[in-house]
Amino acid sequence: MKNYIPRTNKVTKPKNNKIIKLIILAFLLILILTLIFFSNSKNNSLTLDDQVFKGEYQNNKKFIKIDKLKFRGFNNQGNPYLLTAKEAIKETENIDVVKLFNVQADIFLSEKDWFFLNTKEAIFKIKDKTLFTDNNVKGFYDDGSSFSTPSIEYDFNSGIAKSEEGIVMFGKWGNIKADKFSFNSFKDVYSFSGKAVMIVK
Amino acid sequence: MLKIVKILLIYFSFILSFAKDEIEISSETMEWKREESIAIAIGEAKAVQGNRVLSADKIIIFFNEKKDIKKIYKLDASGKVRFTSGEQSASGNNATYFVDNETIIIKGNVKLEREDSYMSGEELSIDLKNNSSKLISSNKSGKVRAKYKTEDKNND
Repeated sequence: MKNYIPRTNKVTKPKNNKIIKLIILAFLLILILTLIFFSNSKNNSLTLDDQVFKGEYQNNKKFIKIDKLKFRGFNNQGNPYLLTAKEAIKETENIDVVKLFNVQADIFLSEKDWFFLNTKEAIFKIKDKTLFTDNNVKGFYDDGSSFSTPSIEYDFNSGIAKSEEGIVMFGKWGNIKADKFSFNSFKDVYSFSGKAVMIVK
Repeated sequence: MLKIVKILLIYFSFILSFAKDEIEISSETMEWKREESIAIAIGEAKAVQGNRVLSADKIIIFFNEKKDIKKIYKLDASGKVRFTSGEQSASGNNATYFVDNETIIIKGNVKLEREDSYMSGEELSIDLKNNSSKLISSNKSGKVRAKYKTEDKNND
């Protein structure tokens, strides 16, 4: 009986169990943290309101009607912008183009400075992040200056606005009129051409 | 009736006093760098303030406040510069117009025409407030040239 050893003592338990559990736990933790990080990253995303499909949505038609559309994004310099439209129509065939109605684009030039564009109708290209309108645009700056132009093309990524149809800018300082203009919102530089006239009070 | 006329006169004189301070700059192209508080007018650039006209190939406009334009304090003109104020006109290579001091300094091959007189030199300084001017000769010649038109007595 002296040589008797209980059977349970003979069963060898794997010692690595705890380590494997710890590795799995750590892996899950990293996975969760990665998911949280990427969900907060500054990527463009088409975020839609709860009432997006408030209007009637029909599958058999060649377009989707979206009410209260919102498009949030960040330009190449990391400044945020928000594009909102009371109503939007998106062709199902051409998924890149969205036609917007009663549009407002809020654009941050830096941490403090901003401006926004207002127009009745515009076309937004999702891929290029460009907004085009030939339906009279008004722009307003945080310093009280404003401008109006018959048409404009604004590239949200590069922060460059262009117009070939003239511009009138107003401010406390006076006004500027020109036949053509471009605006680099990153550098805060305006270029006027085709007979530019600036009146400073 | 007289009161109305008086009010109208005060109103128009008020408007005119403001219009005199206004500066209108026109050119073929213009670049406004808001961060640097400057604007660059290129190609047949012209700055008009009342009866004063400064024209050149290029005019740089300096504003006295960052970001938000408040007032122009200086104009730098270069290339085929011409300045006229009333009956006097001057030309040169470069010019700087100090708006607040109402003075202009024109440099390089300067020619000044005033009614019937003509003067040339290297640097011209005009005090528009006091209606006085100073012409400096070039270092080479050391002289200022002047021509005066005189009435021909034989014609009388």
